[in-house]
Amino acid sequence: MRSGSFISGVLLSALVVIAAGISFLWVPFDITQLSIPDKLQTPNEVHWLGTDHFGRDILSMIMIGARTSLAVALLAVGIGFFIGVPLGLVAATKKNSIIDEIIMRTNDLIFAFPSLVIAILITALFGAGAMNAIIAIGIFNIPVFARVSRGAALSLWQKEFILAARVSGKSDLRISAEHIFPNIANLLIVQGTIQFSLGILAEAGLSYVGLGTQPPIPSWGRMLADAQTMVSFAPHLAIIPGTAIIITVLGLNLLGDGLRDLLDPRVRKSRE
Amino acid sequence: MSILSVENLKLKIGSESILDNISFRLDQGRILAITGESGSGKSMTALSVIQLQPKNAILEGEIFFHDQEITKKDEFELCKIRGAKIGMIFQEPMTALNPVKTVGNQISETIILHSTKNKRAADKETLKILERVGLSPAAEFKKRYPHELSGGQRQRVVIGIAIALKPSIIIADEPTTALDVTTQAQILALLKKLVTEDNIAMVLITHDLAVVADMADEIAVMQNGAIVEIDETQNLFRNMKHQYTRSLFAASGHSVNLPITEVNSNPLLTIKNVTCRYRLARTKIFSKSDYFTAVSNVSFDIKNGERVGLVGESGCGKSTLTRAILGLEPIYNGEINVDNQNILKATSSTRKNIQVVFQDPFGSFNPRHKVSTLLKEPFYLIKNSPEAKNIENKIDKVLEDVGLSAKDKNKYIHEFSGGQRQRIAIARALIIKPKLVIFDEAVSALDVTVRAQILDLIAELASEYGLSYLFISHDLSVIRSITDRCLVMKNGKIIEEGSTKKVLEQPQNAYTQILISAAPKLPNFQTEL
Amino acid sequence: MLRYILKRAISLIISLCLASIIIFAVVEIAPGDPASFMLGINAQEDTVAALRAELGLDQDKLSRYFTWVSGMIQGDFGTSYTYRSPVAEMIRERIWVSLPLALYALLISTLIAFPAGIYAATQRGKSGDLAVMGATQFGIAIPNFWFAMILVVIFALKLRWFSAGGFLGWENGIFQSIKSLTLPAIALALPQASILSRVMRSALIETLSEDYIRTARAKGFGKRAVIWRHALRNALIPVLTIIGLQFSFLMAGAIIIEQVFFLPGLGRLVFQAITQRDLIVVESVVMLLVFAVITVNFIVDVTYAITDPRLRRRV
Repeated sequence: MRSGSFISGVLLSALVVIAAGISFLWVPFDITQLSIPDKLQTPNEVHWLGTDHFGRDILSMIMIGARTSLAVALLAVGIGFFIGVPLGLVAATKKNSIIDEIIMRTNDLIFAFPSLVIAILITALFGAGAMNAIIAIGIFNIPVFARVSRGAALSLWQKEFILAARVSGKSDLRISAEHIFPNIANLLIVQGTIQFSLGILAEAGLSYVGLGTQPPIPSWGRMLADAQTMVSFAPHLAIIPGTAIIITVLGLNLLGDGLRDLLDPRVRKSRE
Repeated sequence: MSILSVENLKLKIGSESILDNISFRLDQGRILAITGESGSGKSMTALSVIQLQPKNAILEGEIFFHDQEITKKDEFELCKIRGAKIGMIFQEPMTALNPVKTVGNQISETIILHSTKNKRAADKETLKILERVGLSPAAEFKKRYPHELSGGQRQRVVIGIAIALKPSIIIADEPTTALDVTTQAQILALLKKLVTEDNIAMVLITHDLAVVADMADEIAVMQNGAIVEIDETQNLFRNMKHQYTRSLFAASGHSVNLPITEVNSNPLLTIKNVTCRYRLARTKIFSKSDYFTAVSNVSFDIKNGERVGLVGESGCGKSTLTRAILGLEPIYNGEINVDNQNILKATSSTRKNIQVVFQDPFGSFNPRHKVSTLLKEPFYLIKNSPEAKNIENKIDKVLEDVGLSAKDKNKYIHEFSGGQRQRIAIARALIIKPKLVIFDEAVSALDVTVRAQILDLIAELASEYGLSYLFISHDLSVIRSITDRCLVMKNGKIIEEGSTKKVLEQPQNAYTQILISAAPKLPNFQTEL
Repeated sequence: MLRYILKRAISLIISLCLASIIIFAVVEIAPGDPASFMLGINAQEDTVAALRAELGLDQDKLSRYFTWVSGMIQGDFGTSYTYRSPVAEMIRERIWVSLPLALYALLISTLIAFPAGIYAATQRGKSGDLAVMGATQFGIAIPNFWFAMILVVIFALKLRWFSAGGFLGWENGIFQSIKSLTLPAIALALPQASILSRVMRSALIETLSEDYIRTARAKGFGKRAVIWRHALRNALIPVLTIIGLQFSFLMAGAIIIEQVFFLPGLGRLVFQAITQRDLIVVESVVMLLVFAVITVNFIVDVTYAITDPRLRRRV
């Protein structure tokens, strides 16, 4: 069952990543070309996933939308990772110091903000668009990574091999890089996949309310927003982008779960 | 009819055989000890008797409690036996009690579960039990939560739960292993008193032969899931039939052949009036901070060639002192000098003279590094000096010195056993040729036979490498066998100091006397013959 | 215990102060002047200046911040730039949609998650566990606004059991109001219920592997009795944290769901206010949401202290 969730996670995520990758080179139809006579077709042999109200090919839009979703979520996770992890590691080294207090209290504060509300506020005030969406989602990834890495690092700092490294005269910074980070990397990868999937959902939500990726760049959330008024007579307009989101998020979550089990020495041991 | 008889018990988990043909009988009021090293299957035997073995275990054979076959009973019937007829005491008192319930509640719920008593009657009974296990005033202890009790007090509560319904059998799985030696003596005395008073039969599981000898009427020795020898206590010690029993006994009383060394008058390590303290959390928001003094005004020297022991119970400040000597702990007052240089300001060529071996053979190494990388780490201190050349050759040599092979340097740490890891830890300490090594409970996590080997190795290498060492341990027998001089520590202070022989044989301080008399001793039946 | 609560209360107040500063600052540095926005591009300079004075925008930032904060403490949230009516009143109308919606969703989520999580934990590794865990994987992956659209198509447009959206107000019948909040609440609750049941399951499994559970079993408690008497209360500690965090998700999630169902809640208010640069409304609503979230987390912390005696008397 464990490797099952890992394999299905890999397959589903790979499907989305490959679709996004191919879209750079080729898509079935040019989506900048509107073709009103072909509008609102249900899936058929020419348009595999049908067409929207402008007659654009939905498969092509889903493929390019995958690219948008993945890029936004990945960059947002990157912001969280590259700012949050160092902060967490520093906080763990300087445990109970003023620096630790400041870092962790700031994290708590960011945590207390309803993330979507703030993302809406930021994108609304500073202009809707992919860049601001990335920043808004990314900010809320920082405390997640900081907390996870601080917690894991703190328990490592208690370990005797860290004391041994200190006896060898290594600085806190060097120990963090040489001993702490490699030992928490697994945990961070797992957290990263989870945050990645949350990022996909957040991007879809922002685009749905019109504050994320802007037209004409296709995005899944935007497609759902357009579909809303036509959902009663053209339900495929809503079902297809929704399914794309579910496949991506499901795939990433399964991948994260599978990775956690594969990388967790406790689980690994019990299986041997 | 025996009260408990186990016949041909076999237990497998997957394809691995954990228990093999275990058979024994236990009569009313008797104490049977099951002893053996880790992995011998002694705890699994205990759990099987109350049918709490892991879910995926496959059990064969028969277990009779009076005339009832336990392995054939369903969950409902078993629940009526557990706690009421068979009581159980576990090793780890710190985690054996539910942290969110009061201890009174945890005792009385057992009584309510198995009897027709109402809450009030059960509460009254609970008070009596708390008094019996020595938690007095009982009315006060009844209201406490587990985290408000010491380890010994928690174990008394666990014992109270086990005896609450006057069971016919108590199974005690390493009941004192997690406790300090003085507490251990009290708990063992209490257990013995209770089982005698109530005429309870007891299965006592322990790795410690000395504890076994004091307590048991009968002893079973286990190895690799099988009982290799079972006999009345006196008979067993007088006439050890099985080779393994003999080696276990020899290792438990192992005395190391300490080579004679020359003690140089130059002090290698001087500790002058050292005090270390921690700030405690404030009791009131605006009150002044309180401090806990972990090490209080400690002074002593270690001269070149000396082998010094430091003995004390948990919380006496020995770990803090160790860290202070290594320069890892801020010192509030006083001074620690190595080779006449203050450790906190010492140059790396001086610092390299102190190395350390820790207790935990599992936590001492970065699991992601190969042995060669692990052994290179100490060279970081002297990375620019000529001594840091030919590191690969030095790794090969030191691995062979500690009884491993040069090929082992390409392995990862999880490929080694606990004893081998401790050898690697020693190799890591010795590789840059320090003058002083601190052994911080370095053999406490090891089984007795492995412990004997490691102690021999330490003694041998110390003379070969011309080492002085400070051996920190809670175990008097270890201190006795491996040091020339020893210090006794209590509440952050050194309370007695002198040659090991003198301190252990003619202790002056009252606490040292208690410590020595509390330590269980191996019997010497051979000479009695 | 009292000291612990006091300590938490102080950090609650500090958090609120910092939050208000951050919100004020973000809104301040945002481009776009409300006065010129309201009057359009062709407005005269002096008209804009007059309006700025009227709105209090000409004062310096510090005094505007303090006016805002001290007003809020007294329940005066200022006057909306666009509607020229007290913000407090606008919020009061809307909050009776958003708050019940979030609480309704929280209720549904807890009612689903507790039994599902406990069931999965007791069936660990068996088919029942796999089924629950599989279902929760889907539950987490489904975007709630999309689920909301699907619910509308099925239950409102096809089956006609519910209306597709809108809210008539509590004065027009409590049953009717609850009915119109039901589909939105279900849509909101689904992902949260999935997360919560996973947390419940793993917390319970973790607790069941503790030594004191073995002690309880050795006392003669059966497998079920151990769960009810010993494991559940201890497993509740991480579950409570998540419930606290979920409240914040639900309040925020409600904003998007309100769009789908055309509910006149705080979410709609914020959206309108943002598009009209009615910054005072934006600030106040966001502050209110943050206040709600921080307070709920404070309550969770205090509940901890009651559940866990180790915190109660911690020095």
